[in-house]
Amino acid sequence: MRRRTFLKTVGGGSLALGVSRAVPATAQQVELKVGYMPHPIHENSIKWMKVWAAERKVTLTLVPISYEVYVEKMTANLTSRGGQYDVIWHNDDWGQLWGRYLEPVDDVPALKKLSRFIMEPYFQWEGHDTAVPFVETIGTFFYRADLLKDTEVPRTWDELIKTSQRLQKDGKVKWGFVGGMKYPHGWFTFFWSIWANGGDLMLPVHERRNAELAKNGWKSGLAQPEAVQAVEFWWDNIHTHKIAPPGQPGYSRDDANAIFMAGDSAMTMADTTLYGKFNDPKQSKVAGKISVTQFIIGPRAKFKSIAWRDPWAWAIPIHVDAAKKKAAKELLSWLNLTHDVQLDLWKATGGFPPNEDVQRELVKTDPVFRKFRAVTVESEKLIHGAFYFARWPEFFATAIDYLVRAVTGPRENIKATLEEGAKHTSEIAART
Amino acid sequence: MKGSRRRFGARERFMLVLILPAFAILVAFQIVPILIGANASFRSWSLFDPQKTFVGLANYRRILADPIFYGTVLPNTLVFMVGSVTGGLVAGLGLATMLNRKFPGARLVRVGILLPLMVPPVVAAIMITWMFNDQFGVVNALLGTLGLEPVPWLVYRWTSFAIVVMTDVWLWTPWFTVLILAALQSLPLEPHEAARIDGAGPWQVFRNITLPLLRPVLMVCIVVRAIDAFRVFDIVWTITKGGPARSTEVFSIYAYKQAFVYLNFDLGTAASLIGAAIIMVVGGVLYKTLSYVVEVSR
Repeated sequence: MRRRTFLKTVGGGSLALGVSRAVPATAQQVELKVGYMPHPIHENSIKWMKVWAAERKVTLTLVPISYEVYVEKMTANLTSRGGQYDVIWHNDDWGQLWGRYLEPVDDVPALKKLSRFIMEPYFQWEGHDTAVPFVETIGTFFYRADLLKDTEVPRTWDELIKTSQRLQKDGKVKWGFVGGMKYPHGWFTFFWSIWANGGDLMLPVHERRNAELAKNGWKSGLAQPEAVQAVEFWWDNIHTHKIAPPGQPGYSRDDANAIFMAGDSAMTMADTTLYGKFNDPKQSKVAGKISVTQFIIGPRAKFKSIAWRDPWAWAIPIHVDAAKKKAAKELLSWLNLTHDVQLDLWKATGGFPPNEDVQRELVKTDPVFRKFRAVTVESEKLIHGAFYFARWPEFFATAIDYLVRAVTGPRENIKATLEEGAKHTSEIAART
Repeated sequence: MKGSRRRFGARERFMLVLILPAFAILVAFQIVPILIGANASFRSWSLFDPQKTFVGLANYRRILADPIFYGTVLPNTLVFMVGSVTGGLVAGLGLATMLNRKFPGARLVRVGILLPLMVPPVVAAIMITWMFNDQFGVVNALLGTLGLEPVPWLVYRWTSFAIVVMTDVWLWTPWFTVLILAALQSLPLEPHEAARIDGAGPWQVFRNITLPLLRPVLMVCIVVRAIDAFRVFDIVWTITKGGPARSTEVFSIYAYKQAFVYLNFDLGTAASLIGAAIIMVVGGVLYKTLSYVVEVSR
């Protein structure tokens, strides 16, 4: 082979190879890797993501991650700029931690359809929105409607005890109430009862702005009379009245849900998003027998009703490439703007659709949604279920440790344990 | 000069080339992460504050002054280590002695005893957690048939801790059994026969002949398992996560929680390095003891 022929062959071959590689690159399918938690809400959202992806020939790769390790795993991914995920599940109580690692999403049109209450302060970073909610997570009381008429549903702590004891005595249920207690499940016992008794984890009560918490010296509310009384309430429920299982201080929300779904408890506290699961006859013995009511109010509360209102969202890591960001934003907007998606979310799971237009439509047409909304987001007091200062993860875990210690120790030590907890948690918050 | 050239001749260079891939992997995946970790431990390094300000030994001081660390975590780790190793050793020794005898179905029993060794620790821990579940667990169901009240096993420190230790003993007993059985089968018969002829009973033979002959093997088992038990994570995390209220937290859980639950990477790495120092000291003492015992047994 002469030199010129050789160069032509090699040059032509290289060019052909380059073109052949370039063509599929431009027409290459976008792949979106979604990091999610196996949960009915996520699964519903993912079902619709698949519909969107199939229509646009986008490849979806789904990566399930257990809730127990989700923050750890995702934090490692975000801080190392790992390429494992293009769309990630985001939650209000991690907002302050991940803000700097997330793509601003102000340009997602669907955000205009959402209440700002479910965006601020957590999904804001340096003036930009950082996540697109796909459901509202609102805690509510579930009760057995086959055992309790509307008029018999307890409204106060005292009524909760008496009603539970009556049902237990009649052999209707093993327990009056069950709820998750251990870290990170304290919302379903300790937290709601502290809030429903007029207390809070930090002072001033119901304040979530860091500047205000700092102005007040990052003071913990754990040793306030409202919180002490709430822990005494649980201590009595477990040890004296025996309306809650003795193992409750070790329960996760899943343990509590299992007991409720087995028909062993008359009441539980859970996110509305569990409604679909509780009502699924394949999974639950109480399917078709449940209804919801508002938080049962404690003796110190100065209001008639209270609820928390927070979102679960999808977010996009900032280090994801531009094409993926564009596709992800289109997907997240579509999920919120498509009414079929939003309506299915509610009907299949009990999760509130974030799109306010859809909520208004449901209020008019769906009596069950109307009831859910009335006992939750239409409450007299509406708060966020977490705090948004930097040391919240440590504060949260430590607070629950003290609450568990108080409820499992001698009753007379509750106040002292919580005072120690208040001192410790205040120190943690002040390090922010 | 001539000597040094001889030491690094073609043969030696070839040997170094062969070692290089393994060394590169070691550096990339062991040494560099340890150095990065060590660097983090001297800085203020958290997820929300990536400034990484140098703080000297402040993180080490905070860990060492933490009452949970010295009042709960270190005692728990030592109790776990002693409980797990002692339990496994005693059970393994008993089983090995039993299996060293000839009886019908001995092979089948040996295979059966090995089964826990094949179960992944997390699977075993989940299984145990369900067995001790206060509402649906088989243990409370059995107590119920005996007319006893159910026990909330995982609500109290010592019942939770006992379950964790028991699970570890169950998982590791076969390992002790296999090693001790192999040692038993290689022991000389003469000392045993001589002792029996002299009128020694089975317990005397076991105590005065078998155990001293087994001592080097037992020491190896103890050293290896003790170091491993110090690092335990999976079983404790799966069964209790260090709870209730941090009362069953062991060393590795403490470091993990600092880094990945509280998101204080600086304190997590400082805790890890303190743990590494402790296990090096403990391991060194155990290793010295082992060397001494082996020497004496010769």
